[in-house]
Amino acid sequence: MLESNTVVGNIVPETARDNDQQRRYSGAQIVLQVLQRQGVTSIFGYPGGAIMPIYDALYDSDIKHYLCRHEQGVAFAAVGYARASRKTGVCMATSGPGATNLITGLADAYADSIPLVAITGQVPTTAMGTDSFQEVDIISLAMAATKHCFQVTCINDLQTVLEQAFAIAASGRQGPVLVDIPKDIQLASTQILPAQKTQISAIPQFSAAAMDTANTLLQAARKPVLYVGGGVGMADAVEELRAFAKLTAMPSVSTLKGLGALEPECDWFLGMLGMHGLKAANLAVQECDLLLAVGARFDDRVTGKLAEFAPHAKVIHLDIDAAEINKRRNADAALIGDLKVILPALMSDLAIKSWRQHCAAMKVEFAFDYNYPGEEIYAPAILKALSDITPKTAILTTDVGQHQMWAVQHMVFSRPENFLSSGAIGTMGFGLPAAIGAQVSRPDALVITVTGDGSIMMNIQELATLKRYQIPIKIVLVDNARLGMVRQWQELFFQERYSEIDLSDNPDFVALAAAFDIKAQRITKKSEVDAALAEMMTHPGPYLLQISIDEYSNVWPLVPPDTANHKMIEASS
Amino acid sequence: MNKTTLEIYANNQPTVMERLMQVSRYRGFSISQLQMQQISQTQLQISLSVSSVQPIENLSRQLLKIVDVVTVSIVKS
Repeated sequence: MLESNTVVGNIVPETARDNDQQRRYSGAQIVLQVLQRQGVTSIFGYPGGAIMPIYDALYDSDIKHYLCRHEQGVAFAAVGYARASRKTGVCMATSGPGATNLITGLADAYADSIPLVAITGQVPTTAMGTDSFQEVDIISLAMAATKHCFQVTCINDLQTVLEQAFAIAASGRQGPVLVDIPKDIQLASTQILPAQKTQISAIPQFSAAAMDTANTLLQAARKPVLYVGGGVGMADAVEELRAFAKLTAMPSVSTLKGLGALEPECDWFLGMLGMHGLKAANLAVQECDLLLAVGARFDDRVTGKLAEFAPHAKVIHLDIDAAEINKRRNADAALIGDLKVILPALMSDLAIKSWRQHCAAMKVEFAFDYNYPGEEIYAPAILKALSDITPKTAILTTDVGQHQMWAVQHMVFSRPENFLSSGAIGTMGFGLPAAIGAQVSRPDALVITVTGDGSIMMNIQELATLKRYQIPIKIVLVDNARLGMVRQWQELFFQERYSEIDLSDNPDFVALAAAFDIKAQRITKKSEVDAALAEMMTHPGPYLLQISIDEYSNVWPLVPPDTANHKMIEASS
Repeated sequence: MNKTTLEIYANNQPTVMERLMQVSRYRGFSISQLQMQQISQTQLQISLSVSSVQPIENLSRQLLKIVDVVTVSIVKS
């Protein structure tokens, strides 16, 4: 029998008891009181009819509210805040379309395991189920995009539900939780109780037998590879992983979301694996005899053709989520639990010098060449140059597409919380609002977003948020006047039938930025790169640098769909 | 296609049945029989028979992650 083992977890910090416990508070005031007790200082939202009582209470609150210009921007800003700060992000929207507009952001957070609490207004309980104005069954709609959903139908449940929402969002494999609050519940009144101890699922404990098996496999391996995923950052286990990697000196690869967990300078850290992975990383995995998966889930973009992925390897799988074990690739040993505990217990010396040297040599042999003929700007080279002048403490966000793959191939990342990209569901429109949230959470950090001319238009309205709050984000817009990744696939796999990818009628981005009082410039030549990057980096406020590149630029290498990872295409045929 | 019955105990919350259905469908299991009974003020007992080409553990582990699901047992396979 599988049992959801529950324990009493002291998730909510005990705060001073309210002096006047007899005082009655409105539901709206209780929402803000609970947020404050949870240590929330900044939230992102957009008001509307069914959430007006909460916005009225907000008027008197110390919590800083950031008004984005679309609820999707609201959700992504909360995601960016959560990822850069390692706290739970909070977003709010009204009922109906306000709530539905959050859903893409919730789905993104769910797939990338990001802790969020989303608060939505709902029509009054007396009107629910009658198709009233701006009524949508958000519980049903959000169910597949959240870890859990609550609808509060009694004022006396509100405080407990909100406390549970924070506990669930941040526990185990983290994720978003939605709390839907009808307007009459926001207006009803009750007393506030001391913060409750919230029941959460216990973190699973790996068995001693599984640890013995894993140790035996590890000692027997002659060609092991450490395969690092986003779970390391989510578990706050970066230091434990780095200690493990240092002692074992295993050749290592990373998923997109795992980037930053390992020190990129290490000679046998081979970079990202998978569809647009680095050649050395993919070849090492295909050749290895043991794959140690740490907080990774054998995603299809990582494995390529699953039946031919790491074909000679035994697998040790470390994860907090038991449902990831044997989901895509069977594990020879599975250690389920907290990576901060498992990694130190697994640590040992390995006799793999020749394998390590082989992998380090591949890294050198297959390193990228940044020499590019002609005067045009070569996207990999400018992103490499940007990386070289970016401090380690900076935060980089990306959108989704070719620019995203170039960024992960050619830039280095010092910590997982310094690299924010929509990994699992690949959401265009992520980069700008996520950068806003990241900058709010870490106001002293340099925040750069690398975006494309397709992606930026998906949440372009958030330039107004930059202007309103003077958020000094640097926007690097890699512009090929195309939906570049779709164009690349049409070139390679659809006989160059270029269907609906031409964006050459995009607006003048420099003029558009100027309309939001954002300084901008456009460059088209290699000779302009260094000065333009320097100007952007030293500008004190928000800045948009539009970089025009060849519309036919492709991302290499590429593993074609349903193909083994060692059969990558390295140049246009 | 493997047919299996799961016995599930869950908290009596409004969303739990809908989530059980949603997760079963999304994870590629078709439901052939479903019985639910409220066994106390706070608990539901659910018998869920499913079929799929996938191992049943791929579903039982996912169902156990539902916040209001307390236990999942594989009773027949």
